[in-house]
Amino acid sequence: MDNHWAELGSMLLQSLNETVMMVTISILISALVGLPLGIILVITREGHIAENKWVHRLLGALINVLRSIPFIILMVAIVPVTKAIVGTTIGTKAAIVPLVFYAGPYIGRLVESSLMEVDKGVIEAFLAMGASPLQIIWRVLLPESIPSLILGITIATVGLIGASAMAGAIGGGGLGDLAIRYGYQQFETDVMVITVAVLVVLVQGIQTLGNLLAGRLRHG
Amino acid sequence: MGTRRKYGVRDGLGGSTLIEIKNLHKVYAFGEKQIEALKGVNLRVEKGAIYGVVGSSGAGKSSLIRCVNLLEKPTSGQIRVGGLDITSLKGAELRNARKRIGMIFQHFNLLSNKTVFHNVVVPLYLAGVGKKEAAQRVVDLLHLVNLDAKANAYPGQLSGGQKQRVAIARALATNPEVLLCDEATSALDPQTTDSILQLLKEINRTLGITILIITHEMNVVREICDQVAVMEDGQIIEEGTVVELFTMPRTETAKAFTKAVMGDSVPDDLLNRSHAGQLVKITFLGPHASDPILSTLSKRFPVYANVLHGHIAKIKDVPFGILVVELTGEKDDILAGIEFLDQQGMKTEVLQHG
Ligand SMILES: Nc1ncnc2c1ncn2[C@@H]1O[C@H](COP(=O)(O)OP(=O)(O)O)[C@@H](O)[C@H]1O
Ligand SMILES: [Mg+2]
Repeated sequence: MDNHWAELGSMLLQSLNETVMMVTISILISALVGLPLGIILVITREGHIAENKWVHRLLGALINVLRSIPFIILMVAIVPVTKAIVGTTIGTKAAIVPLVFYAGPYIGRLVESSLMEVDKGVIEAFLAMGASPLQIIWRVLLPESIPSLILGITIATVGLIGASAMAGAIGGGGLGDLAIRYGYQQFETDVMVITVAVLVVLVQGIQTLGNLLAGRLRHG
Repeated sequence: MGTRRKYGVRDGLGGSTLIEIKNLHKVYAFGEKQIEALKGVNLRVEKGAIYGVVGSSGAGKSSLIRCVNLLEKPTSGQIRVGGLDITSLKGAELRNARKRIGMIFQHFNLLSNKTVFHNVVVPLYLAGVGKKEAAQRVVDLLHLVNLDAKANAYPGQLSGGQKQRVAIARALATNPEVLLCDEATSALDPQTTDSILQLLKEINRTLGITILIITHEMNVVREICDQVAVMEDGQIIEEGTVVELFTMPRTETAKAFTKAVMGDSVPDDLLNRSHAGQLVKITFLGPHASDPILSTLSKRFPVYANVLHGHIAKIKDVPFGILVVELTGEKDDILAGIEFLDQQGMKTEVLQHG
């Protein structure tokens, strides 16, 4: 019996480690991709600081296409891309590629909606001061929407935890993989329950942290 | 015309033109629909003046002032600020020109997540001023707008008047030649409005900054402007010194606007009743306003003056009043008396002969 718990414990720890790794790296890269996407989507809008109908439409369409593919299909569909980038199609590293394809455009949309909330009047005041588009992004759009951006990243992180569980199915490892392999396929209910419990705690923790940080930075 | 000049209210400094707008047109087009917001506006603002544009909502005031720094692109026409043809500017040139033109807004437009200090320092950073120098300048600016103690407060912790003071400090940071005010007091209560107007007046006087202010409140014009243009339906329909506007408004719109502030309409029943003497409306302005002019009149001429209606206010800092008096006495004496009043710089108008 003791043996069983010890084994389960070490499996859990390893899976947790894999999930945290997968999600952390994916969210960082996704944010790096999604932030510029969102910024471009906003500033190229009609009447905004770098209005450009075609860029806006093209980018919007691209994001919509990527976002309409179910994750499980996306994962399979981009196998060649994954192989080209990380050299393999299985394992934690390989799972990061579809996760970024999934979360990047998602974050792009979240960033877009955050930046859209920024008061037009403030942007105008900065235009009147002679600020350049880059200065407006840096001095107005980002600082004014920081709390909302943090909440967006929090939402995306939670989403990534869910998606990473599916990525586990193609050998990505992680908590989701553990729950599926032992809990679902081998009917070891206790493994499934404990894994889910860990996931719940993880999600709760991340959301609480995000809310706290956003609240701290909001003064408006 | 000559008599109006001697009222002593500054009509420009007689200096050079700072803002010159020629035949400005602005058409907003969306789909099939077009709105012609400006229909050939001409305007000239002298250096050092406080120039007001007054008009009802939708007259095109905001469109006009937003064209001056090209927040709105004119459909046609020319705008020169300090000799520079603004309408021809693009990119970095436009941005540099904008640094010489400050602007404040009805809704203040401050960064809500940044402190007062940060809000005021930003334009200095944008202009490439070093951190230390910029910090010192912010201290001076906050002192100027009387907010020394609020450097670390966030806009959300300030009253409307204080927010507008921050916006003024921010607009002045780069030492602009012009300050554009788009309904800068329209979101404020009357008392706060007054304090902001006093601040603008002080800034104009001490720093010599030219101010172009648009408003739908005639009170604003009366408090601080030297020159005024009345706008209606995309056009300037009347223009002149504020004194001219108040003492002899020409258009119906101007009359309605001045009346709203002065309450100078003579009650109807006063005119309908028959009076023994002559009913005379006296408009007086400047230092005379406080002279005991009616008692002097009675001392010099065998004429008695009975005040039936009166109203006194200030145009900028100059007292301005309207009296309706009934003058009784011999016809010739009354005539001489009225002439005497005219000589004293009053404007008289006989409403009813006795
Ligand atoms: N961005 C815009 N797009 C379309 N119509 C506008 C825009 N701005 C102003 N207008 C229209 O132009 C006219 C003048 O508006 P505005 O300049 O704001 O007047 P005011 O400031 O005197 O109220 C109004 O009919 C208004 O609806
Ligand atoms: Mg307006």
